[in-house]
Amino acid sequence: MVTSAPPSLPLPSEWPLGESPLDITPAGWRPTPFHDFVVKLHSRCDLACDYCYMYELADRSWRGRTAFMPDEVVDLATRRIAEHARDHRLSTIRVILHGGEPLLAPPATLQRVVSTLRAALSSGTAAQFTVQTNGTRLTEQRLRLLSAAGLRVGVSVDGGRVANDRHRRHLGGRSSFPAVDRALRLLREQPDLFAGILSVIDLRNDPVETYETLLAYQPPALDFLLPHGNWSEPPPGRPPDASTRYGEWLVAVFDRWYDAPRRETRLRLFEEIVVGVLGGHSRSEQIGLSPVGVIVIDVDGSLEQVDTLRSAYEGAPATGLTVADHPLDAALRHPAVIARQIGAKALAPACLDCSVHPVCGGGYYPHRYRKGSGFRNPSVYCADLRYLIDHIAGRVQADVARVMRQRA
Amino acid sequence: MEPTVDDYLSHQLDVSKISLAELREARQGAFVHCLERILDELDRPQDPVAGFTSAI
Repeated sequence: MVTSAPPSLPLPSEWPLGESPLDITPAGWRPTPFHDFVVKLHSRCDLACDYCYMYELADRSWRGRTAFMPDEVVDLATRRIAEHARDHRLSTIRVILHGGEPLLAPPATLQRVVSTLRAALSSGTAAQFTVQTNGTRLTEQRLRLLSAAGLRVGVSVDGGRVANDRHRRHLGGRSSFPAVDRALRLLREQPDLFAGILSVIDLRNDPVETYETLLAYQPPALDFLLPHGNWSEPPPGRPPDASTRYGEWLVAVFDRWYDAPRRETRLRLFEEIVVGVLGGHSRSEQIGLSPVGVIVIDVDGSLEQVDTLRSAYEGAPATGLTVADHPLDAALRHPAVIARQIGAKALAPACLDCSVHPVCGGGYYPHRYRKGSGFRNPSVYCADLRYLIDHIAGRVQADVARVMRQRA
Repeated sequence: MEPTVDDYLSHQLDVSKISLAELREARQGAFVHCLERILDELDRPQDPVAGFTSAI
């Protein structure tokens, strides 16, 4: 995953940046307003995870950025979010405090985001606040402050000590596990504050053991993330062939999760696929055809697309817009934002020819990138997603068939 | 050519003629929660995106 290759700039012909918004939108199409606002409070991190899209992959633009979000940018950002919510009459918004590591920011900064935004929002808009952290700075005292500010906490951890420390170490190699384990034990005791766990897959880790280790912390939600990569910079263990090692890893966890007599936790990827095969709509930007309503506000006030795009090339998330000069609606007219809101219209011909595409939605957008052609490609994980979706559809189909037989 | 509904059916299952009670008898756990979510969203459509892969 780590690349030392010099960053490459986007080619003008790469899809969708070479497109006019009018050329890629269907007649009568209307943009979906942003509902999820990722506010990056600190651009540095106290871990040096070797797969990190912020610091270790193609984009190195963080080096030129200020370390933390100044108060004047906090105020501008919250004003823009409130303006957007009011203009689009949004009943609920979600604000995710992010980084780098957001808990490197002073507690007063986190409280300022929450208090200024709550004050700026109209009475018809409810806001949910979450902080997504590596957990290493989450003490009992810090948790009390977050709770008082109305923040819930999501933690990134990859499994037990061995699994986690394959990648998630401090600079210099020290283990991060004891600190994150302590944080997760604290959160287990305060379920109202616990938003969930994000875990990046490593094929060397046993899938069921990893799931059960994380489940022991009793997260209300859990998601397994595929390591970032694309056709030009393939993920680890994902050669450009028909192999399905990631699919098989996920199927093992799915069967363990699905066969539990009660739902042990929400497992986001699986839940979205089950809902998808039953004809429902995805609520995750990771999979499915639902329009993506996420905007990122960086520490310097830049408006960006999801920053996992940094795994593709230098500057991939950029829109050229800032909270100082532009309303958030301006980002809704950016070709790359539109491309993630037009569903099947953004898919490659090979995806449209495949019966699974309403469920997978072409896979996660950053994983579709290929240098020279851009993002109109199947996912680099296409074979794995197909394997997983076929398996899940088969399991659900078997349950439905059993009901029909009992009825007959 | 745009895909049609028929193209989707091979992976999307029609459970509209089965009651939730019957499905609950078939399987508890995660499956039922997913069905309940679909039914809930028929009455109260949710925002199209709740997830962000760097946050949960």
